[in-house]
Amino acid sequence: MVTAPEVGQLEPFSLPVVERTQTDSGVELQLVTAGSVPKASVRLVLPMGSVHESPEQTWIAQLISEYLKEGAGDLDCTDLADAVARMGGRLNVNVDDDTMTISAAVLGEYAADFVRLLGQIVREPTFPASELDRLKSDLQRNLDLAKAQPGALAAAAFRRALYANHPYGRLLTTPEVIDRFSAESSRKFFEARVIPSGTRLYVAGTFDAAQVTRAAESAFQGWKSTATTESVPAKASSTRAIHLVDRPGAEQSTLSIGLPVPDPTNVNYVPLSVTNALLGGSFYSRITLNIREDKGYTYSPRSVLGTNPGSAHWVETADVTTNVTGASLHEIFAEVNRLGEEPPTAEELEGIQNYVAGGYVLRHATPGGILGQLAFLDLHGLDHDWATAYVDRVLALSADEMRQMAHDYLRTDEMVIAIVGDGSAIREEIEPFGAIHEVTLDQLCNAPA
Amino acid sequence: MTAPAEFRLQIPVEQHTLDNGLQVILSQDGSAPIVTVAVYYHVGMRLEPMGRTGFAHLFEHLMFQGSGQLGKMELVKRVQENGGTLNGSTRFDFTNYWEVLPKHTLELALWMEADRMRGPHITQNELDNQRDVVKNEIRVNVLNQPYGSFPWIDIGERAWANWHNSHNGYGDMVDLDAANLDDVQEFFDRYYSPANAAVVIVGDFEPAAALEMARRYFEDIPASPRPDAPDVSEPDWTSERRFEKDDALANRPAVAVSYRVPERNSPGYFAMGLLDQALLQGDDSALHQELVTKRGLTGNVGGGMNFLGNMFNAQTPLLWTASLIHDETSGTDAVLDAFDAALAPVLAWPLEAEAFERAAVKARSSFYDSMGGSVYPGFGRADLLASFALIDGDANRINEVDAMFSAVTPKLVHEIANEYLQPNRRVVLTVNPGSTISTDGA
Repeated sequence: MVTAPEVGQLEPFSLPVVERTQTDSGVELQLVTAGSVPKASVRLVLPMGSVHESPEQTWIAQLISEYLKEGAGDLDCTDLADAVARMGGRLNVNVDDDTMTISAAVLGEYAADFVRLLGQIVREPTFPASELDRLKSDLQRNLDLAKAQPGALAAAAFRRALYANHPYGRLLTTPEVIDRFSAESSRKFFEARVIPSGTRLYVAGTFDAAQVTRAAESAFQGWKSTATTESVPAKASSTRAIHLVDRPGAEQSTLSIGLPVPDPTNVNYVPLSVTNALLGGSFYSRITLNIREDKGYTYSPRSVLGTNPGSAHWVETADVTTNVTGASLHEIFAEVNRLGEEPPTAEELEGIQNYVAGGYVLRHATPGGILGQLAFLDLHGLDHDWATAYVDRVLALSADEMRQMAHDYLRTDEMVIAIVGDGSAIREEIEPFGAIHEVTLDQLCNAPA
Repeated sequence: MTAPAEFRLQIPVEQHTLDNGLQVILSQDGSAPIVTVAVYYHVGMRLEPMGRTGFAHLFEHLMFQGSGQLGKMELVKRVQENGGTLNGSTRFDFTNYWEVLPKHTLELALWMEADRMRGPHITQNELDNQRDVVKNEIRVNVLNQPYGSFPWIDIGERAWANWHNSHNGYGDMVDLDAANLDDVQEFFDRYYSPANAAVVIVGDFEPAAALEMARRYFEDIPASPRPDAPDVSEPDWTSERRFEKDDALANRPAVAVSYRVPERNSPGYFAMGLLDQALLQGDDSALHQELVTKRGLTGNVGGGMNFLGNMFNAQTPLLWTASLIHDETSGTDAVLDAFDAALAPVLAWPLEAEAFERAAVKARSSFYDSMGGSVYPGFGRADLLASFALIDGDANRINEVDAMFSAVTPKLVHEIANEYLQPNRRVVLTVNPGSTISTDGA
């Protein structure tokens, strides 16, 4: 028998070097040489997201994300697609709660060309009226498809329960709202919010930094705007109750369970992240070991901290076999409560600290991972020192502090329980866990009155 | 597609075969202080034996349930507490297990994988538990989702004549229920021989030391015969076949169209890779331009040459498939009409210089993504090296891909299009939605 080898020490880890500059017009630029293939990941992050939508505008940011690919300056949508393809990339425009990101992974030698094209896309979008009906049909189809997906419905029910009237609480929309979007309303929404200040360009990979810097300078030269971008801060709240979306005949119940927690600017965010990793945020986490590896109730349980500027939530998601819906809720709450009552063992604590610290090293090992980290810091207004001190803060956590995190922030008696499942089959088993509010698809799609 | 010399990629590849037949492949990458260890076994969904559907995949789960010196989930625990991450997956032609870790833990990772290669030690409870987990995986990915088996399981079942290619690799519940511990041992003995496996190490390490460690832990694992490769060949296709299926959870119709592809590693295979880029990958592709931009039938046409990976990590036969979800207002014929219009130019004449060059650049860029674009650093390269080692017997083929693409001419692309992309050599599958959840109905 060959015994296990001794493992040495993790070498001190230093963050990749980031070259930070700003164009004359005020666009922030961050460049990182990284990775081992001759490609460059380029992302332009704009301060415009679904958080800026009124109820009557729900999903207009998604329409705009498609619209931006339809034309810029003298280029139509085919010209744009061809141009990025010739660079070895594909033009992606993604919108999330808080930002819109225009990106491509191009061959390294074309990084500067793509940056110039980004300037054109942002400053000269054409919003062609001729393409509006097609893009709206695509949105209508996407809305339909989302309504048939249990995961999308559970997420929508969970967000609605936490954020109520706030845009974070509206993941779905209605056909009528989409119908009323126009080319002009899209352009207005975009131009009112997309300005140099708060726009950030990130490039990571293999590329010529001097060329990219010059390209950024010329791409955004003279870009001015008097618009200001503002959003209403979210006020999340939660009450222990079940929000049930009935899906007759479903073989599984799709669960989203959680509550608001401190956001990344709070001193307890990092300790809470480590706590989450032990509880449900990793393969060898307590909830996963319990409901998957011991009970076999589910395949892919996981918990995450969802973060927005100024707000955050903890959520455990799992698709569990229908006849163990109540049993799954019982086990999940029992694990959360146990961690709030008893500190983890020293071995558990050290193991999860190393996991989170090591994960930080791994996340800084690919261009995509690095860009994700930089964008996270900027979104939450965290500085370089926060990033540098991260590993030390992870390793400084004590077992009782972790218990305290679970006890203070993961209060099971305040958790929202969203379930998409077969109502008649599970009602009896879930009743002990809270008052049941039936949520219809209409309610999920319409903003609360 | 002449790339500037400084951007040309040459991957360091060191190949060794241990006394027991295990292939060991080393590839240094000093760009980050980490290592990836990937162990690939040459048994996947299509290579599993008849009467044992879903076994390759169930077995992947069982390999996390314990081995001689590692208890259930202990490998996962050790990887995590050493700052790493890991996973496993089952594909058509292999099952893989891998971990990405800070570099100082390389030896531990090799020791653990060697222990696992000596065989699973599992109980009936653990088998029952993972059977439940796998059933829940099938529910969450297939049975409880709209379009859950579309198109990858649905079209394979209908297009292929050979059981190995056609059967559902997730498995029939009947076969999964029948599996017992003896079957598990038998499957291990037959397929998990060192001679049927490859260990790949990618990252920041010293090659001589890494090879010495690999020998120390793997070389005395007893040799056993490599399993015979099953015959996966398929008869030629001579006429179009159309199928329909009902999906009770879907609320919009869908269409998938599949064609055969040329034999792996032939010049035509790489020509097909360029056709895939020209016709299907990206918003500039002919299918996107025709179906999305011009006719507005759908918002997205998806697909490629391998449902479970890329054109490099599966053997042929494979299907080149394009699929889309569309509206009730347009029928299958309208979709196929657009499809034919999109393909007509490549059948009529060779790609023009600009379009050919664009496809070539995309192919090169996409190959680099396969190698490095993963969120798990090192895994993409390890996956390619292991695939080339197990399927072709030469991991160094990773360095020949650029040249194979470069050798493709517009004339060859034209010939391959005409040979493979004819309507009489395709399969069409239509999904009829059964759900009433819709914009109009709910």
